[in-house]
Amino acid sequence: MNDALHELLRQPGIWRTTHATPEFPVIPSGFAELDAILPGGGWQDRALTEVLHDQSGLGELRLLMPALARLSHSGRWVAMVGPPNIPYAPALAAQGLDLSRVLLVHPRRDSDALWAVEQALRSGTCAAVLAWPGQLSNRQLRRLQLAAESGATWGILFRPGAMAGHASPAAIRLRVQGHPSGTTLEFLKLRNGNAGQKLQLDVNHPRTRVLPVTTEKPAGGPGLRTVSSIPHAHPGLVREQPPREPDRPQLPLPLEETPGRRGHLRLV
Amino acid sequence: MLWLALHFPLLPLENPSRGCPRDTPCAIADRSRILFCNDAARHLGVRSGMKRTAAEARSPGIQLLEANPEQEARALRGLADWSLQFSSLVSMEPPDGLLLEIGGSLKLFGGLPRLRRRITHGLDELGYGVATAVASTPRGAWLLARAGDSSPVIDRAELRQRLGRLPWQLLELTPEQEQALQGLGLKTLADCLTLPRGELNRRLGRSLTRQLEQALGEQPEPRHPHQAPRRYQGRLELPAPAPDSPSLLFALQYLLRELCGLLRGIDSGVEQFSLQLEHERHPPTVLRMGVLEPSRHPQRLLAVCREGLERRPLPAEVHALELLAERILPLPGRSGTLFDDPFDSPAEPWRELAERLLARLGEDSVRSLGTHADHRPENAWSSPPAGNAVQQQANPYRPLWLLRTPRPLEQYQGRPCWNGPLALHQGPERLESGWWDGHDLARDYYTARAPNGSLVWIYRERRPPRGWFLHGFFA
Repeated sequence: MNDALHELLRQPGIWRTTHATPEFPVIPSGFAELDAILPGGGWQDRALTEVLHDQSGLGELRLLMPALARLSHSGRWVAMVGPPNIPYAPALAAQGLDLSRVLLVHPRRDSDALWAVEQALRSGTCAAVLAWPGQLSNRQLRRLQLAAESGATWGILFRPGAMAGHASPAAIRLRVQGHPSGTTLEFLKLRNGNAGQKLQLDVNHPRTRVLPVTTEKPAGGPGLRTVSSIPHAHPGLVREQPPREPDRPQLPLPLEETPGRRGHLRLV
Repeated sequence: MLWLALHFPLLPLENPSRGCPRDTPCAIADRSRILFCNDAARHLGVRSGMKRTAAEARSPGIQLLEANPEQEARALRGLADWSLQFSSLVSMEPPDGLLLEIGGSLKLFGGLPRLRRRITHGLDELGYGVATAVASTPRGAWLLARAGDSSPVIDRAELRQRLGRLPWQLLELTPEQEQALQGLGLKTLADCLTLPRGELNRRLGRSLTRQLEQALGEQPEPRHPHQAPRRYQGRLELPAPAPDSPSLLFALQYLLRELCGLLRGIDSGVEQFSLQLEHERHPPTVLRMGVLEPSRHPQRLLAVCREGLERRPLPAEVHALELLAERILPLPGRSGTLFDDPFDSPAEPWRELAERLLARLGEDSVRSLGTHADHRPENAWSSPPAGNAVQQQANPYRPLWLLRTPRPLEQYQGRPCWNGPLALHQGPERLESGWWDGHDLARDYYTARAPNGSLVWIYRERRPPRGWFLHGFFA
């Protein structure tokens, strides 16, 4: 292939699926660089995906939002079983989720939670079930995996990072880790794919360019234009920000009047 | 006017034995003898009039029950409630009969044969066997039903002829009247009709001729219409104590069908109902159950009960169950689709899931999610019960997780800390609102990043002591 073609293929607007037709159903993640790693070009439907993370706020939900938003418009439901905090409706709506298709389930006990997850997965009325289960044995996980298969539902389990060492029948297992400037995904298991890869993802901007994972701090030298991570910006809206000094990492405190938060917005 | 008479010859037996499987031999007995028995018992050789000991010898597992007139009256009332779905004029004929005016219902139900089939089938599902008859007068239909003559009579001359064949013992008579008729050597109603009325009146009293005239339609018979109850209360005493939920559900479906028949009759549904299970030395277990929208579909209500029963361990065997629907809700009027309307049909799959979850996890455990037009973050979202319509106003500057209560942050050198000092990213967004309802707030919100990479939503109180708080995560 010549350079021009390479150049073209690197365009963020162009999606390539690694396999022409996946043998298993997938849900496009909405992130080109993520789809490039996920076998079949997306999250595996009718299976469990495990998201392991230790803190909140790492982008562990935003990672799934483009896919969930799409599923919520498919006529089926998105169920959340036992969310640890309030799933904040205005933000979810901003991510494109159809709130009228969201079902919140608040079980009072762990055993009830597991039962509710299984029911929701098995019923076939939910396109996706997000769950925050407590301790799960391998047998329980397998039950959930079977329920997801029989209900044709995408099950997403959020579990602590310490679970990384335990075996699991989930189709995809990934660890989400914080990074001073974004989110790093570590693929612990990919059914039909190669695990062990790492990806640094700007979860706020679906379909952006791949950034290589670097061990050193990102160089934010003067003159370098960075795309700011606006939380929950609409895809397609990017805010220009003046370059930041590397040795001035924080806003001065107490804060003087800063310009209005709705800065200069430009349609890409 | 066309009257359909329903005669429940085995009501005293069927009412209490409904709760156990049909192949269980059951019989009603007084102190010494069998009065009625069901088919299963008859199959084993039990006959009415047989001694208790003989019946027990022939059928060792037989359930011998006592007649309970009070319960029978209640059962008949329940049947009258249920029958309201077929006719607006239902009249009771105690102790074991109902009269339905069906002239107005024929067209709706697609003719007499279909209506009768529907009623007989429905009663069979409720656990009752029935003898039916149709005639132009209520008394005539009732006499025919009791005689087991089921072919409909509309013509008056034919009615006279058919009634004439019946024995006079079917009439309601005092012992003196019976004796007198016996003494006269009469056998059938035709024999009575040939006698001069005046003589009959003088010798036997007005009541006999009145019954005859009413049966023939020569004299009107005003019937007392049965009124629909405002609440439903159905009770079933179990002949054999039920140890587990499958046998309870088996008995419960009879009550649910009865309830749903009533609801169809008065064009209503129930959203909430309760089930009381009575034990022998334990206080009763009460289960409260609900569906997401008023319904009158027995299977749907049963599914909810099944989950409810599985959730609650029973302290002991159940001897009786009682179904109570306090609030009967009218359903919006529709026309044309009396039998295939959404309230009768099973729930949509997602509702079925939500109802199953609700029944097991308890009230308020299944909710929807929506936004609310308010600047205060705590008030800008709502979580109504599942199935309610919601607003969807997007705000891209908000975190996906909101903490239920803001968490105070420690400060280090004047900077807020959460897993280390926080780097402010964006802000402030000043929110000052709510003075009118006593929950006013004045805050400056910032997006900040923690050293571990977490993106958090924090605010600083603008009133003393001007503390920092964590309010959400950009998860």
